[in-house]
Amino acid sequence: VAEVSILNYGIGNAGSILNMLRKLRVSAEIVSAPAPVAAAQRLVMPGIGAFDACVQALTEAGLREAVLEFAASKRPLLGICVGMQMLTLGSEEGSLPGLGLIRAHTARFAAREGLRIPHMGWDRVHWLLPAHPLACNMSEDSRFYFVHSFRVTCESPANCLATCEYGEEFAAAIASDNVAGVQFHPEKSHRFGLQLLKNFASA
Amino acid sequence: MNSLRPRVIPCLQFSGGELLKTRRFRDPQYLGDPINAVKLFNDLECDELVVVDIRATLERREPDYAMIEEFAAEAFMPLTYGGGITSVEQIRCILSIGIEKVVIGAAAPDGALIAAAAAVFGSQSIVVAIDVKKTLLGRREVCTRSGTHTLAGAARLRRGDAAGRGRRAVRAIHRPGRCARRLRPGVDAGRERGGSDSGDRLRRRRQSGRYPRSTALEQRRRRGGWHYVRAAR
Repeated sequence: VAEVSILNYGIGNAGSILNMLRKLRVSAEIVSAPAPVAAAQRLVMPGIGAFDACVQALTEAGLREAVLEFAASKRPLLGICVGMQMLTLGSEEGSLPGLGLIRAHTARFAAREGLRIPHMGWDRVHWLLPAHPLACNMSEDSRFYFVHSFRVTCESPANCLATCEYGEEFAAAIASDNVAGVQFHPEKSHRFGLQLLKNFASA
Repeated sequence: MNSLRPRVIPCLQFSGGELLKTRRFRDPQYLGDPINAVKLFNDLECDELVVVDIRATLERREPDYAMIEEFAAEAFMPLTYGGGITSVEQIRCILSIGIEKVVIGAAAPDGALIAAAAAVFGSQSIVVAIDVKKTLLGRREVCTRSGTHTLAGAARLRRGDAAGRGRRAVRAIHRPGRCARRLRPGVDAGRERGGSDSGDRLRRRRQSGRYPRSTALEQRRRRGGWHYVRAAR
């Protein structure tokens, strides 16, 4: 079994995450069925596009239960972009419930004069929990590539791993025990993203 | 912060495994291996990168998926591909390889493709290329197919707008010494308006005496065929 398994449920960009893990010389594979998910060491859940479309695709692929069981087994799980939003209780963007693995909510950026939505481009993130394995060796000037119109807020500040500011402060990374999520795309964020995936692969 | 820092996005042109530099979309010069160039720009940590197959449409080729896959393997930044895209299925295939955005050029006047692609993949991953060329009259025209065909620019821009495209890349072909200069949308509004203001400009020039009242070119324009003639170089 590979060190990192990347979940493919029909939506999302598993290819570029696989490329970056290869660059790190981490053995990685793409999984799309419940059995390999159950056997995985670490699981990455990507996501792109609409919240409901992602949740529905995950459910239809029979992977929703598999991911919940994986998370309950205390093995590391990382959600990326909409994959992170799916870890929350739900999103304003859709009507389907999220996985609810982290007590947080996903909502649209508040409309503001001069604020372009989506939030697209490189931005700095502020790491609030430097002791967390994912935040290991992250400098204060680390910057990441974001593309999103919806942002996550945690019910408890203890779950907020990193913040970013775009019109308002939002959670750029969230974590609860073995489950974590990042709003940005580490697979497209040069050495900063490499560091994050390296941290995840050694978590 | 309400705004992000500006992104610098180099644009590489290639064809048949060769990285090319053109001037005014002509005189291609061989520069080296495109995959190596992508790797170099990745090492330089540029914000994003655009790679365009400049002959795919002219040669009626499918996008070179094997090549795109090699680009994606070298680029740990948002990567945009353009060249030869005519269908949603092709876009699906390119994005699944690990490309972030696609450029639609020759197929853009058919607004249906832009609308369909934006609906499926989100407007943030669809870029409409608008190549602008200055003609002998100083007018600006929108071209496709590496500048070999011109269109009624204003109509094309509007079609792109209505279709909800995410971004547009405006490039000026006529700039001396450079094949393409990316212009920031909104900064050079005159250029973006394409052909829409060209009639006014012609009239202004005539009034100011800087332009002869009647020339062969203007007669041609009056006949209404001007927008569709093959670009005079």
